Amino acid sequence: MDPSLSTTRQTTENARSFIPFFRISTTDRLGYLLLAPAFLLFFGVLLLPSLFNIYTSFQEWVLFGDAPRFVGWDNYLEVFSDPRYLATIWRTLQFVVVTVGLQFLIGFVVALLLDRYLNELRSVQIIFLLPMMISEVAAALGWRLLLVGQYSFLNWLVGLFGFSPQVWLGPQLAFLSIIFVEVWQHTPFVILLIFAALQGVSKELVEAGKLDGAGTWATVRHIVFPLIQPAVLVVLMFRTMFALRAFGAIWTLTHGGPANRTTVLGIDIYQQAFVIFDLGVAGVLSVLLTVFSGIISILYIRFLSREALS
Amino acid sequence: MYRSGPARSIWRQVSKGFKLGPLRTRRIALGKTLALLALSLIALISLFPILWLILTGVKPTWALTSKTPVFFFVPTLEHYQSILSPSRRPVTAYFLNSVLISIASTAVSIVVSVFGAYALARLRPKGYRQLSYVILSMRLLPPIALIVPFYFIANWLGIFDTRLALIIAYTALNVPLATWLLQGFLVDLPRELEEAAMVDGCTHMGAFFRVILPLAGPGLAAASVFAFVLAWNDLAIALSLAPFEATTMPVMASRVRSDQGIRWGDLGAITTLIMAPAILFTFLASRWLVKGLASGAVKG
Repeated sequence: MDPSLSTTRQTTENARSFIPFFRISTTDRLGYLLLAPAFLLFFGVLLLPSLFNIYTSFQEWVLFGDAPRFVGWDNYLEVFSDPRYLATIWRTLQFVVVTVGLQFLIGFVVALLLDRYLNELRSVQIIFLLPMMISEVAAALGWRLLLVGQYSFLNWLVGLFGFSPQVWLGPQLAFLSIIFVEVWQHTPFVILLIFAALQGVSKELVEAGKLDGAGTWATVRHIVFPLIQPAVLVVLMFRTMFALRAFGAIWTLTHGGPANRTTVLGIDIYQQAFVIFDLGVAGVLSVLLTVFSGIISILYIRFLSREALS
Repeated sequence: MYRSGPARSIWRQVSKGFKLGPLRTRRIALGKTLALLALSLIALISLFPILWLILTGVKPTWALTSKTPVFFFVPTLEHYQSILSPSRRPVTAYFLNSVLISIASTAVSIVVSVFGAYALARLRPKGYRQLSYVILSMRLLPPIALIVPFYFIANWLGIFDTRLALIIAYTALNVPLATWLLQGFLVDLPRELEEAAMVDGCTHMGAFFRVILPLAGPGLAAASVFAFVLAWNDLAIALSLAPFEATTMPVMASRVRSDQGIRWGDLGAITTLIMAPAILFTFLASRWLVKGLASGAVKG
């Protein structure tokens, strides 16, 4: 605080000690003051809207229609009995498991190879940063350009190998295509974080393992992997959380179509709210997404606090 | 690399009689060649869609309508002229929206975050650890699950479809990550500098402005880039909170249906404009970004 304040403080100490806020030490008080704007934003813009979702999920409410009417658990029952929504949830789980699995496998191998062979070449990082930094809309449009149409680049490419042109965003392949685009855009996150973790693994330890006769696989499995396990867990949890909320790329590629074949939770929330205007169901789906995401966040935070203690 | 067992003895049999230097060196060279090939292929796949979009934006019409991919052509700026010409108001208007909204939300969120981060990293008021976990959990809220409440709150406040609505939303969404990142950077700064300043008569805030802030440059840069890019790239929030007048470039681009006879040249140019800041920042700040990613995600 300002030096002149310290004399003022002594004179008003008695009066102030009645108000709890002033009984805290000055440093603590300054700390809370500096944190206040952030927490005001969280409360007003993130927390209240999340609670609003819970309210919406118990209402029968049509956008631009009548006033909301309380219907209890009806919306939840509808979501958990209608095959359309069950399909969305099942599809989201498939999407998350497959994309995160592929991202992790590819990312881990690429990071190992980078660490081993291109360790000193930092500019390689830029190549892998680019896909994850550009907009999901740009990524999706880039792949649209390569995929859509009989004479698209990819159809030309598969033609070189003797295959006939495919409808990549058609009913058969659309789901695989959106998985591919998601993997394309976000594997770099895994590569960069695992690579950063590998840089911290002591080379002596790996050398020692090799001297003891461990092969490449054994070295990775028993020496490197345990050492970077914290980073692996963090990467998996982050990618899972972000795959759960996938929206931008899928919306730009397919709008959730054809015939809902690429409708994941994020897409369905938007469709229920602003295409079908069923706010109650949109509320239920939003609550579900927040809960799924929340479970992983809690695991993540518990993991972090355990790390901080050890 | 140095494997044992049958594979090695087979290889020894095979390589017997070749006078190509020591066995081990050759095997490592082979492994390295294969690894570099695989890495090059993955790098090519990572870059190709981005490069192809940029090329599409400068391709002449004959190259766009060709039935086979055209790799060599004389670049043209006609698509840029077409999307930026005064007769096409929307693209420039959306571009301006994107610029203003991203800059404003980045500036506000960085100011809010740097104070919060300083409090968490240095002042450490009672319960600061719990507070930092609250901040982290805010970051983990999925924004797509907030679009319905956002829509109603914006309508209720009378700011639906205004830049202000998006600025507020992006600011709040950016503060958690920025605070978390900056806290990581500030904790790493040597405490002695600040203590020296305070011994010399600076207050906490004086030390913060004179000593900490000038040193936090890289952290501020990384946090600003992440904040700017989130606002600049977003589709979900802009699509539901400001779909018409105040909307941004990604929303506009996502609405162009390329298969309905829209020329890919224009869309390539528009998408290049969308990617430009992200690409620029990546080249300028790649080192800090990687560090920021690692500390933002891993550090507790």
